Amino acid sequence: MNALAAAALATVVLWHSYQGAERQALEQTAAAINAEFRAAGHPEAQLALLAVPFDALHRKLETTIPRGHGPALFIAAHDRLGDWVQRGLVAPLPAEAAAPEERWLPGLLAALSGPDGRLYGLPLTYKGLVLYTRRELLARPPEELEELRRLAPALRAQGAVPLAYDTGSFFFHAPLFLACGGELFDAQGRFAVFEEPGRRSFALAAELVREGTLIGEASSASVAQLFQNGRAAAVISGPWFAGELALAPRSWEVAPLPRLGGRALGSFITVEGVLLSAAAPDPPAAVRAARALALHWRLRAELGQQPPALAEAYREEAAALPPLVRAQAHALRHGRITPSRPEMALVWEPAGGLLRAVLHRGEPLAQALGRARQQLAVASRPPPPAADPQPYLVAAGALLLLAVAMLVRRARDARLGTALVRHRFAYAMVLPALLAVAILVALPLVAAGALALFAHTGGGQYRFVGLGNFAAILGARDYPPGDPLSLHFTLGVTVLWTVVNVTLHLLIGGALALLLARPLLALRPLYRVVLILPWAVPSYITALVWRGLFDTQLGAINALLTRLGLEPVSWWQSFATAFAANVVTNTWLGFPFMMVVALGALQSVPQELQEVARLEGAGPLLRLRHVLWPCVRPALLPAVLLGSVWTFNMFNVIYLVSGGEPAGATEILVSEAYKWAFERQYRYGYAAAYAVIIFVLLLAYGRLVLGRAARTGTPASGGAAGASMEVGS
Amino acid sequence: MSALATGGVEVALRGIAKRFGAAEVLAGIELEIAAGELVVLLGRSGCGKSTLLRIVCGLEEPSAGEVWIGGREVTALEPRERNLAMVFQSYALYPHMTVRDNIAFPLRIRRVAKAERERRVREVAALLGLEQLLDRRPAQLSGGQRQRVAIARALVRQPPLYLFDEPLSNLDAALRTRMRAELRALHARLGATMLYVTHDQIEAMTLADRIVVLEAGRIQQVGRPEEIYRAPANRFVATFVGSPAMNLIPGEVQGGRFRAQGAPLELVAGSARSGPAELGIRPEHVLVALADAPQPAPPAAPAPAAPAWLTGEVELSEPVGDRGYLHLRAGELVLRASVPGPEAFRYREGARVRAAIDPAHTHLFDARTGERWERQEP
Repeated sequence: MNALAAAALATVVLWHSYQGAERQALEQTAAAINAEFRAAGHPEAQLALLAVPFDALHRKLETTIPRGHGPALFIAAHDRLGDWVQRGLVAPLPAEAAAPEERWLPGLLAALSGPDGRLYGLPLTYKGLVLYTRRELLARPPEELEELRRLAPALRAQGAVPLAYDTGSFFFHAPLFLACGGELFDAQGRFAVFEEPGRRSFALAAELVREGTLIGEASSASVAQLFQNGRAAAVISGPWFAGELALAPRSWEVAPLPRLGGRALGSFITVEGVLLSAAAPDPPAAVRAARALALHWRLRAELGQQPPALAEAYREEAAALPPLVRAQAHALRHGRITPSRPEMALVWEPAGGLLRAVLHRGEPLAQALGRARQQLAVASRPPPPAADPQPYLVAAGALLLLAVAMLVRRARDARLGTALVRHRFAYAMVLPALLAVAILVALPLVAAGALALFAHTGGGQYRFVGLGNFAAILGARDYPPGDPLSLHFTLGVTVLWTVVNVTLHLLIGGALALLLARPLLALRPLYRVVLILPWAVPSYITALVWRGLFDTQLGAINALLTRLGLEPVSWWQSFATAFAANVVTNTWLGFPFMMVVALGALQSVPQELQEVARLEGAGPLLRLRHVLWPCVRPALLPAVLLGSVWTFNMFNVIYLVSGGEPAGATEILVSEAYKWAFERQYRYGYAAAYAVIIFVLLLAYGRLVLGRAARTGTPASGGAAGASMEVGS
Repeated sequence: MSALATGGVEVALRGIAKRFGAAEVLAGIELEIAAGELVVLLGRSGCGKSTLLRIVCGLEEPSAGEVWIGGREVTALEPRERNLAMVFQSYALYPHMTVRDNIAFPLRIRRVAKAERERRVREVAALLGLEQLLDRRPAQLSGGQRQRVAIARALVRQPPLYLFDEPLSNLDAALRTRMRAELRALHARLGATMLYVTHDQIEAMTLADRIVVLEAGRIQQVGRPEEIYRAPANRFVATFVGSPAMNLIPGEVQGGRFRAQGAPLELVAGSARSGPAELGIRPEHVLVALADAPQPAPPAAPAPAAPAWLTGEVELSEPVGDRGYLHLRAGELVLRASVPGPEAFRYREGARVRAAIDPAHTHLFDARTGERWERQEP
């Protein structure tokens, strides 16, 4: 074996997604460890770091490790450990790797242990919530929440919000929840998040909003902006918040969360550890490297501002630790490590919804609690029972036989053979596209259809449930019809959404096309480019921009309304305004397509048709109705069909603009499917059943529209039919 | 008298000019059309004839001048206020409507009651032989049928003025001949004023009460077909009307006699003017005989203007059946001649021939301006 290969083998590859100071600290730590190992005669434990973008890290781990590739070690948060253990992506560490256990802060090792009680990684650091304050508004960080409440009137008089955090997220509400003694699960493992004593925290937050201490409606982005502009005196956020600020160093401070009624506030804690991959080529070397990394805390604490996981770091010169580290240590001491059990993933959505209902919209707590409890019950309901696959297999077999029989009959038709031979060049040319469609469209369709018959029970395990998912969805037994969370309501909203949008796209696009079609219009090419621009910008960027424009506190639209002397609108508080905001965004996105199609169709209408109508006495409106519209209708019909399908499935706008607010009322079918797939315990089968239902609905709609077009026998469709007959013959 | 007789209306164009930017398309157009007259605007493509038609109907606004219809100035009026109908070269039928709906459209726009609409559609459909086609769409019709539908749509409202923009150009030759006759009959029956644009002189000659020859945006000549043919006002009209085109022989008039340039040809000029001129003679007035045939007997009375004879050879012979066209070369001079059918086959290419030009059928044009020199019979 040559030296190069030996060196390659001797490297322990570690993946992480740190950036900035954290990454720098990690790199310097690794360099120090490598130097030590070389000096100690352990060249096989050299650490090689690879930074992977945060968004891609989980996906890459889940695809590489089962195939025996990927890193030996990776740095990740503890919350998905349970899932990874179930999938076999991580390997347990030997007992001595963490010895002695007293060296670590309490709870951290437990966070990195699997459901089986074995340890899968070593803690490096943890993240918790701290208090940020502006010096010019608060001379020193308040130690008691009462202090802030007392100062609130004075601060408000200065035009500042006393306290701000993302009030729509349960994660930021957790300090109040924990201070009230809230529990996520009771002793029997049932959900307790909406019960006493945690229930009181929601009432408390509502009271803080009512009295003007806490901002009612704020997102992470608006909180950062308020603080940056000096319009928020204190902000509760995590260590990442410091990196988002562009403020002079001495204009703001970091402090531990203030006490509430003498009781210290903690927060949910995320533990970050170095985990051992199940595919590590040399586990002992990897474990040695992981332990060395975990024990080297000083650089990471001082340079990377990461709170050390080792107890000794705080015993020594605790005062020398950066304030951000000390404040997070406080959050850990009085807080709770976020449970990593799979059920925890179900809590966020209903709890966030409850907070938005109570704090943003001022809904009565009891009503919002009732809905949140019901949502939690629906989301946590066990998947349909296993079904006997035999009848399904028989049915699938019969369908397959039928398909084969039809294929054989067609193949025996002599005409097909001669057509294949005669037009072999044409068929050869079509083949790549045919293959691409088969792989990219047909296969996923079949796969999704099959997936809809299974229930994902976590950790990549699937159970056959037959039509159980469909029965659960279509049975709609969770919510009464008319409830915003029921399937009927969502379907109704989806249809309304599609009709309103496509109508507006058609009206606006058509009107602009009529203007642009005038040959003598000055600067026509310029207008055309400008009007097509909204279409050229990626839709999620447009959606985010509109979300910002509609922001209640900082949005340009409310600023404009205020300037005009009107009341600002809380867009997400009622169905009508939230729906309108979605429609405005999607109309902005959708009209250029209709405009382009309509313009093309208009320009293909012979000028004489309009002229003869003009001579016969038809004014502009009559010409539009009797001449232009009938002539462009055949060309617009496919565009309307496409536009309807796109709008029916316009996930980006719903998810990014209203996010389903208020209380899921503006959700459409596809965003609901997304939530089942990715925000409620990965119910892939259930989500696939939603997708199949959407597909069937759209298929029926498409057949209906095209069938009607064929019956009315418009010239364009007649021509198309003639052309296709020629190809077929 | 048919129920469809609509009567006509007089039209007057006064000083019409049209420019598109720097391009002058029409200039100084003066034209009076009598009620019930069928006037053909004849000219090459790009001469401005279609633009003039569009100015009359109001689809185009003149840069200067006035349009009068029925004694009323309509220059500033919308097309629908001028009470006229137009038939387009492309027929301009609505593809999404049946023949019935196409024909009824002008009535529908004017909110004519349904029963009345149906009655009038049936009437014009019967007139144009469209009864069997009323439920078809334009795509299911032949070119000739579409043309009839377009005419029917123009007729149904029975306006006193009809404008036709090259309506027969898209039809085959046989159909065109038939439609020409039908249009002529229709005009006679309706008694309406018609303004008809074409580039086809046969159409112009056969249809028109009067022809307006247009070139480069200006009227070259207005007259009955016979006048246009017999006394073309200038070199352009002379060569444009008549097929094959009139021969033009450059030369000079001196002392009442025309002498050709570069050919031994001299004959009575028939004009008192003198100077450089071009002599025009239509091919059918060039008399041809084989060189070895006996000299035709001289006229009984010695005419002061005897035909001038030339000797040459046949360069090209084009017998087309009822007639034959010959290209004769005599020195530098090339003459087109038209001879009656069976005779044409005798003239082989290369044959020696004699050709006579009868001064009674010649025209003289000023060599510089191209204007006609009026004949003055001695």
